[in-house]
Amino acid sequence: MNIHLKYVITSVALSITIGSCSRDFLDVKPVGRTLEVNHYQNQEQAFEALVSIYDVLQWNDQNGYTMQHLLMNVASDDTYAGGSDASDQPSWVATNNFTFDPNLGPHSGFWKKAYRGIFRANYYIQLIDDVPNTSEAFKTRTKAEAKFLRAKFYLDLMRFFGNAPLITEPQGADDYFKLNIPGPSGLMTQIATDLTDAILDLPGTVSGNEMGRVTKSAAQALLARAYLFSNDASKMADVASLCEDVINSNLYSLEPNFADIFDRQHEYGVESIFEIAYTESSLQGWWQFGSGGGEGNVGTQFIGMRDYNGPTYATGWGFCPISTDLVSAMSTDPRFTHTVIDAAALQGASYTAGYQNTGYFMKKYAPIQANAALDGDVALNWGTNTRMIRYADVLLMAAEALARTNSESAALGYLNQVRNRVGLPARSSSGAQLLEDIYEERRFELALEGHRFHDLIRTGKAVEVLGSEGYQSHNQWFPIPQNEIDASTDASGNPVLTQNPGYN
Amino acid sequence: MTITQTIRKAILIAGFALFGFAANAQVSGTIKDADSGEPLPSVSVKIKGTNQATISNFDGFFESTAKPNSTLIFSSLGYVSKEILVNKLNEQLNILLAEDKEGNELEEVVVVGFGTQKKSNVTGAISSVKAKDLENMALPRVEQALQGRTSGVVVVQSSGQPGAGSVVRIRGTSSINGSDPLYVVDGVVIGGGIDFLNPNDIASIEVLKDAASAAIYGSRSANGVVIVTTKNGSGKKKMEVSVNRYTGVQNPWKKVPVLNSSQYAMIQNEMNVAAGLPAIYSNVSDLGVGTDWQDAVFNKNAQINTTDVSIAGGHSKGSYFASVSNFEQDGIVAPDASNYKRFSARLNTVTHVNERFTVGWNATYTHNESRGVSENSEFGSPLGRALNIDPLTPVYETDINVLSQAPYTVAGELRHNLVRGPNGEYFAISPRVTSEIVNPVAGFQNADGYGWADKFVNSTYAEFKITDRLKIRSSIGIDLAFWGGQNFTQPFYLNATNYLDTNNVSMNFNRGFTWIWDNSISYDWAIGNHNFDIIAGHSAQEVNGRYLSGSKMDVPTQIADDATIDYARNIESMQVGGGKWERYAIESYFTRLNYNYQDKYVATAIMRADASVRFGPNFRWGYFPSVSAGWNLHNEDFWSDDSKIQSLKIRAGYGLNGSDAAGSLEYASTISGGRAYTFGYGERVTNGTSPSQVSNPDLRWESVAQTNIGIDATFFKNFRATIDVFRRQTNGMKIRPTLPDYIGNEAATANVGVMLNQGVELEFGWAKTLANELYLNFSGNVSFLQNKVVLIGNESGFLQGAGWGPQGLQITRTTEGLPIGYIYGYQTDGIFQNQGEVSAYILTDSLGVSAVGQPDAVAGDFKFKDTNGDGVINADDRTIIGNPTPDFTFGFTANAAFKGWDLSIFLQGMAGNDIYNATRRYDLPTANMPASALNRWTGEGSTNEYPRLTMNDVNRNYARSSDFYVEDGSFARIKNFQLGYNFKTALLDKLGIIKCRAYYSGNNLYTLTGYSGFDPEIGSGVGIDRGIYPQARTHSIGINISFK
Repeated sequence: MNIHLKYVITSVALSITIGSCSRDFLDVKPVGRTLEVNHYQNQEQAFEALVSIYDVLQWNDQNGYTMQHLLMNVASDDTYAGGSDASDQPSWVATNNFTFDPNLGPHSGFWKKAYRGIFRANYYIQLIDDVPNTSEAFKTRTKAEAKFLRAKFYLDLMRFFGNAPLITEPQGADDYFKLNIPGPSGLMTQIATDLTDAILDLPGTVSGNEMGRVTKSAAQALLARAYLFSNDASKMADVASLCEDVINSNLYSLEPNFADIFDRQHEYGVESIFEIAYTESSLQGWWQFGSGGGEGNVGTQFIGMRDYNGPTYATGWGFCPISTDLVSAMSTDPRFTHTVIDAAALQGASYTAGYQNTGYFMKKYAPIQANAALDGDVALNWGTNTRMIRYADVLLMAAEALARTNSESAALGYLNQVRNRVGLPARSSSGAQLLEDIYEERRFELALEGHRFHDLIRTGKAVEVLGSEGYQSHNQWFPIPQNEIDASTDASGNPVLTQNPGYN
Repeated sequence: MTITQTIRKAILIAGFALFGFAANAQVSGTIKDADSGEPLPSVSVKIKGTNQATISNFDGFFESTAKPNSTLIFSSLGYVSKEILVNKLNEQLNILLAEDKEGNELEEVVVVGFGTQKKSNVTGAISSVKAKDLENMALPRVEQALQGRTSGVVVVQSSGQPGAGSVVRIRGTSSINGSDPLYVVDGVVIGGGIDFLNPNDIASIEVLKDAASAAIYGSRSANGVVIVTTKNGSGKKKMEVSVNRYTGVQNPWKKVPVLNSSQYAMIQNEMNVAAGLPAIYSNVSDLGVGTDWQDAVFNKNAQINTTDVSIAGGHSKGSYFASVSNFEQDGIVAPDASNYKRFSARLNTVTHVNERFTVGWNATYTHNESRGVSENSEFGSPLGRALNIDPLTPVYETDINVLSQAPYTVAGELRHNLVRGPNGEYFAISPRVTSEIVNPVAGFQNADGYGWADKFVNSTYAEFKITDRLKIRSSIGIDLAFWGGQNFTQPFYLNATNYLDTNNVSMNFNRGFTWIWDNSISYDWAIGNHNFDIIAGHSAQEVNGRYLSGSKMDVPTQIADDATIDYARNIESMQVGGGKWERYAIESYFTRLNYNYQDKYVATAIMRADASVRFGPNFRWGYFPSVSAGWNLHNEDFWSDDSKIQSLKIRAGYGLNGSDAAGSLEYASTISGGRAYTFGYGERVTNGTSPSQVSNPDLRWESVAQTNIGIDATFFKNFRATIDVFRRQTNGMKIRPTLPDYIGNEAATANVGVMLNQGVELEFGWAKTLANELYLNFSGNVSFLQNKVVLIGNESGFLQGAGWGPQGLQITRTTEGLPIGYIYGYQTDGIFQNQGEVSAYILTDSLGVSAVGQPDAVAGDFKFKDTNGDGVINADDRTIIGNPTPDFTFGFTANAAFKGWDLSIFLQGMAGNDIYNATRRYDLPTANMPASALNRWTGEGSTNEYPRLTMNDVNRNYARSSDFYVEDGSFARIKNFQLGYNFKTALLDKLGIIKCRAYYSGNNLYTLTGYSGFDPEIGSGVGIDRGIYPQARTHSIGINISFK
């Protein structure tokens, strides 16, 4: 045998790699991300977990287009669905004419969004006490913020679904199908607990850089709103006192000029108590749609006039055309021209009439050319904040609560502050008429801001006003999404969620 | 060290210990070409009935240990094998081998992964394509070499766009998580496809189809393995230079009929009137034909060119192959916006340092550049737009009155960003059709972008024969790739929703690097007539990558070449991104044992163990065994030599293959960013994080268990056939279960799904040389496949598939018990011919309550079926309305050669597959329509297929996914036709030219299909046509010259 030693050595050396791969070879180090088990080690990281709860507030893209206040306009008698034609957004059309069913409608998006927010809040509340290197003041404040946000999501669930499960901790696999469904009053209890806690620990004001974070007044106003819409007459004194806490804080006042409230430059203005923040600069693209990513607001795009060509406004997709009802009811109100665009009156402008076109469009939140995003997809990157709670609303809630607890002169005082701002004569009514006046003021002052539909329900007028559009009393709640009932099937094969009445 | 590690080592040490001793040479001789008399190197000389083989050297000389009365088999690719009985000790043999024109497949050598086997001894299902099958085919890409050539392999070009890839499926779709095969080029596992290869460099492509053969690649073999071997010059004695060149023109072969101007106006009027609106067009008949947008978008006589030069040869110490090639192709859609270029160079060498030590080196570099337009999209593709934009709009707007109004002007001035043609004319803007359906020609003017790639693949190996029977081999492969793109977008105004005011430039760079190191030891021995050979080895691979990208606005130029990020002026618009991949690593041990009893009984067992970083510590290692056996009946004594059946082999195999198609850290819960929120007056976007999902430390390999039974036969001298029957079941298919939304977090993926593919494959051929030098060869293949998703394991029992249109109508779904990605929607049941039929359509629910099924419908609307019988027509009635998976696929080749002439026809196709024709923008009622809209319902009895047209489609005739949109996608296509002539003259001989062939080649000359769209061959988004970029019809002429 003629073996050349050097070749053998070379070859054997090459072969000795066998088994030489160390344990490290099969370890993977995360790049640009961390494992959950290693994360949340300091205040900065904890703050990011808090931000992720705020993030959910601005989602409009869960299971389709689910802009909450716009869809509430569509459900009310203030706007129609609109779009290019009846097939453009079937779930919006279904909201308009109350033909939604367990499979069709925007509710699966509302449901998903609320529970994403609740999970993140639950996670944060459970997490924050154990995060090292974090100050007590930070823990106290941010936990209160998380509770406020959780309460906001439960308020949505209470009004949209009534019978939604109450979950206050992140769920392990064993708990997936063990649900507590306490009904709307049970949800209200949780909302009240969270907000009462939050009110104690939240700051009165925040600095300019922190605008958009929750304040004490925001929590007070939200709790007032929750009580008001829980429709529990025994809570009117609480509503009044919460609203007066906000009023007497002297931190807020009415914008002198009504038109400025929804102006892009007047965000976080004197009248603003809580806003959902959006920006033009996040470069959101369609690839993100559905993920909750991006910081822009597609809602503004939705309500613009289709193929609009002309000054001031930018083109949109023609949703939420104003109902002739609202136009005729409000056309003489001084706020009308700041609330509604009369397309026919625009000079040098053209647009394409879409589905259910009336020629009237939403002016609050309308797309303005000057505000269009410079980069990213314009449609997705409108920056106008949603004014979730504003001072005029607090004044009107106070007026209503006081009127309903027989403090009519105080009620009239707050009501007339709102009227006075736009130069309307003061009211001096009383009794049932006073309440009617307050409700009318809510309709005009807060028109197209998404309150009307639930105002009609809680005041018992929904069937009367919306019946012609298809509303029936069981439509006070949406159906529980069918896919959610299906997914809630436990080991024994039975869904643990039950459908709301009227939808079976 | 764990127990498994110990066992793995023990196996390898045992391999070392099985030393054998080489016996002395008993027989020697010289092998020559029967025609030319030149010595033949690299001829295999094997002792019959054993695994003992040797190879002739450069001078054709061989030595063998064969004893008297044993038989030697001489075989070499391209030659008819010869068997010689050894008569006496130390016999000197003079062997003449004749060229094999008919191709005796059984003697072919097949690459099986970490080794080769003679075809007749293969026990698995392996299909193979050799260089001679591909010669002169004018193939842009290597995958196309497999299209229609082998059974069980379905290759569908993803589109006709130059440089577009192909979808390759071996024995069906095995998983919802990716079913691309593993590509191994000269031993290097290649990521990112094999388009870097020059098809002329290929010596052979082997497809390992069944588990028994693919198991040697373990955890990545679940979708089959494609092994590509490049040429190396062996078997040649002198240097041979080949020049191949062809040039061709490509054209679209079909236009889709759409409404012309007057038809469009008539239909639009009708739609308005039907919705209670006034008619718009008063002069319908004067409108004429209008714009033919498809003409405007297609590129006529697009060029395709290739030049390829190669040098191959052998010398006393080895052989070499070198090549350079340049390929250029223009697209048939969007002139100048769709094209592809590829330059590649290769050097392969084999050096026999001495009779025991061999080193080899295969190196290739490829550069490519591609420009592309959006394809197969209902939103922005040129062809999708061409089908949907109205014919009334001209390509260019020349009317000065129109140009002086909106939308061309803003505030009385012409917009600065109107898109202009080559002579400065303005592209027209449709006032009728909106959204993404802009002027299709203007649409591809404004972007000047291209993608590029540079790739270097190198494989180096050393092989040492310690004894004649014991061999060790080590190889290192590297795959270094750089790729990226550059885009320069000029300002444009296409319509109210599609515009850009300031130009922007973006660039991105990516680098990927893979190394793979394989070490193996092989040994063969015999106990009596029982022959064994074994190989055992270790393999390790690592992949790393990084990337960088940026963009900026406002470049002071209009020339794309000048546009760079540094040159752009708007600092605030600058964006930059970059990072690196999480490292991928895999470590493997493998072994294969072959058994052979007198070439009668053959068997193979394989075991591979793989560990991948993609899985958590609980299931990091996966084990992939296989066994297979074959029986060569024709080698039995009872087989009569004058049998009509010359050879017959029965084989069967079973094994497990794996797929590690999981994302990095998919098993873990990581912290995800991108949950930002905006705070402050200054609108600071503040990052937010939350857990990405629930973790699943038990995540592991998907595995495919496959049984294969096959028969190979040759009969009546000239016929050959192979039949394979298989059943492959994917277990542990990775699926993300649907958690209820109230949990609020994403579920982790889990190994729960089951998929089943079953099929029959048939390959057949006939070859004969007739008198008068007429040579004929027919071959073909047919594959039948049935796919079924057995288990999804989520609550709903289905997975959503593709969406369509802005509302994302669901048009495909994957459901338990049905084929993957079936087409999903409503079943129609004709059209209500009158109001009476609407009222008579009474449905009854489970409680016995009856009601009109479609109360909103009117005459002319579709009647939808209540498929679930619940008494209402709603989303729950959607069901299976089509299957994109073909029932069978086929390929057929006919070759003829007569004197200098050669002719070949290659036909290929599929049958039984459905296509969802999603080219229509149902959400835009003013969009144009297929000419078939003229057959719409216009009154009682007019049609039962095509519903009425209206602006107010309350019944959602068109805005539902329904069988209305589903068409039969079967097709048969003459993929290639060639006619060539080989010049043979004394002058050429004198010049040293051994081959001079000129040919005509035509691709896609004829397509037989009932499908109404541009092309039934739809690879990207299988089964859904959103305006596919069709395959071109190509006529080319070429020349092949070889000289010594």
